[in-house]
Amino acid sequence: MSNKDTGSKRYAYRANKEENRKELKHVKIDESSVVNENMKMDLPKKRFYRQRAHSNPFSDHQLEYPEKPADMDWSKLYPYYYDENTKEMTKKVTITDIGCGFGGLLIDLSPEFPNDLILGMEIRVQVTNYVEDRIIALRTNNVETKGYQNINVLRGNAMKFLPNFFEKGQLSKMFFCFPDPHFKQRKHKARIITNTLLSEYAYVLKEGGIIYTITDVEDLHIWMAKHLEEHPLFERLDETWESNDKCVQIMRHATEEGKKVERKKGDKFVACFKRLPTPEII
Amino acid sequence: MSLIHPIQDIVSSEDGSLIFGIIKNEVVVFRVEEGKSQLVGKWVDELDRNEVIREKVEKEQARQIAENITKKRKTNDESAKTIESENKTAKIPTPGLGAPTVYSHLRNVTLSHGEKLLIICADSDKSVIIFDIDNDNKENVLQLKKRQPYPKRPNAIAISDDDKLIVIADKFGDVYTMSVDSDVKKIDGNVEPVLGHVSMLTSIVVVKDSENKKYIITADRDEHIKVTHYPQTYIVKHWLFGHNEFISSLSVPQWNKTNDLLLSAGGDRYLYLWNWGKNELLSKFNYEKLIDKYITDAHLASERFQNEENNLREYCVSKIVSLPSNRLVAFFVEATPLLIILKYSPEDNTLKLFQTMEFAFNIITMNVNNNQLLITLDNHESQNKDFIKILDFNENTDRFSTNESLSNNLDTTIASTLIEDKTSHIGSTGIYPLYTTINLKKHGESYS
Repeated sequence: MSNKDTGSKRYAYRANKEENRKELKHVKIDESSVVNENMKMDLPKKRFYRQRAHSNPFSDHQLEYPEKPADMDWSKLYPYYYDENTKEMTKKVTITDIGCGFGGLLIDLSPEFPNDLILGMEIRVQVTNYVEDRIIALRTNNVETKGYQNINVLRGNAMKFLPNFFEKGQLSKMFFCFPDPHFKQRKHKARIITNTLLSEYAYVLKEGGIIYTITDVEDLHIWMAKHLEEHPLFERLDETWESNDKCVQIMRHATEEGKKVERKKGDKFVACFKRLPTPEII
Repeated sequence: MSLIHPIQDIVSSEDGSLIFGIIKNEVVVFRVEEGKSQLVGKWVDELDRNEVIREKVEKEQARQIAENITKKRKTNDESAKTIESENKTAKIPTPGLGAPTVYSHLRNVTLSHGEKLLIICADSDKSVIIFDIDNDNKENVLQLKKRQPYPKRPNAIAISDDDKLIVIADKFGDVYTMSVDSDVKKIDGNVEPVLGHVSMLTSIVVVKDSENKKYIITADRDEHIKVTHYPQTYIVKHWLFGHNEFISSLSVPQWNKTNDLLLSAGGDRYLYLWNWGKNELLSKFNYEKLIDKYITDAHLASERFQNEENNLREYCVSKIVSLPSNRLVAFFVEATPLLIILKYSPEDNTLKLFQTMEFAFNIITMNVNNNQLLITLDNHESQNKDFIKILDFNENTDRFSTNESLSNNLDTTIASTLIEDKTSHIGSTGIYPLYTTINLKKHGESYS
């Protein structure tokens, strides 16, 4: 790959950003750290973070994940919500964007849910780096309003390690926006919505929590809706609910993929589901 | 002299009167009476892999053609007819030169609690095979009852206490159930998983808690042990977190009458003891020192993952079994000759060393019945001796010891009855890979 070409502009850009990221990734960005009020950071440029669009969810990536949810150090991702006195987080992550891509949804959700911590999970390294750089820049540029302190991104494989991060019933919303369609029939298990994975999502979602799905591939939409409808712990929300929900609106227009589909005048298919109460154990 | 292949898997009836062994793609059954043994049953998996592959390829081709035709019909494409008329023969993939040998293992030999059924997993067509055990049949006690293929290779099986339910965990992370009650002769065309991991499953158990509620516990290559309700398999009870390496074996001790204990081990240097219902890690037993002197160059990591000093050794627990009484559990580390027996102490919920036994050769596998431990050895250097060691518990010494006369008798029976049976010999394919558990170790090689 060309990123081994150490003379390239992309290489230099990435190296520079990496240094910056290392320094600022886990730092609490507040007025004291931003010396010059007028110092604005450039937002990262997507063209330097290009990576192939797919990642194999079954392979053993070099991943970092906690042994169990209690071991996760969230203060590094959300330093504003860490209480120095009690040494504990004042809030827990309640909203996740699984396969957050370039982070468009996170950024639009941030001001809408100022009382929630929102986490994006993305399996591709460069794309995760882009979102990290984007959040560092946004936090720096909005230091006076304390903006974007409630969002962050993790590189991870949600299909394998979601329960390592979240406790039972911790989440209130899970977004699955424009997931990899895995067209081939024998690749269907690689899809992010399967009947077996839904039981794990149901575990981390609280009762009444919502799963949001959106895709431009009709076959995938039918597949996801079918599996969710068949799952005893989920119930479809109707179109009236969809049209009244602000997240559906944001999801339709905020994500990079969503914008791309709009430019190409493609269709977008939405399906939302509510986590039903766990029935009595028989 | 032709050498008979070592025994790869073993199970015995509770009273020790029937012993089932797996040799390559063959099942052999021995009856033991008054210290004497005889061969009473045999079955060979003669299924040709290539035939199975051909069938699959043809089926997939037919599906694709049908799909293309419907697509083209939808768009009124004239070429739909031409596709229909074209009748290409399916291209069957054949292994190229230098491709690794494909072994048709039989695995996971399991006996139902009522000892009426024998269950085996076959690699050849990724199926679960069920036999009736007919003790009155003089020719062969094994009668094939059902052969159910699965989409991916079954890697672990378990059967419920009441023998009504078989659970099958595959290499792709999915779990299927098979009802023994229903007409078992019928083969299910489309099987749907009841639960799954996105990781290779390595062990599965079905348990009942003190309130008689059932659970399926599954372990995988990604350090996860998952406790799921049954029959409501869409409800996850919880995960037991604590392993840092792959898990290879689970065991629910039979002597624990409240059924709340679980043992697990694999690539970690510990045996883990859990209260699985309360999601508590009770204690860990470190076996590193016990095994240290048995870790040799045979355990060197493969070249690909080797360090610069070329001294990186990798090893893991191959199997844990719980003994029926005395609060004992036994386990061994892959490719070592040492059997380790531990005793559970209920006062502090720990496992303490009870006994170790060293054998002349590496242990391949082990199992238990009501009174004995059965060990099979990698005896290919032993001229058709030392296939099996039967260990009895000696009340006087309060320790296990080898029942030499029975073990020797079994060895002689195996050597004499199988010497004409070429299938059971170490042939041109050589010895089947016996130490494959360590391959589960993750090296995180993929960065992208």
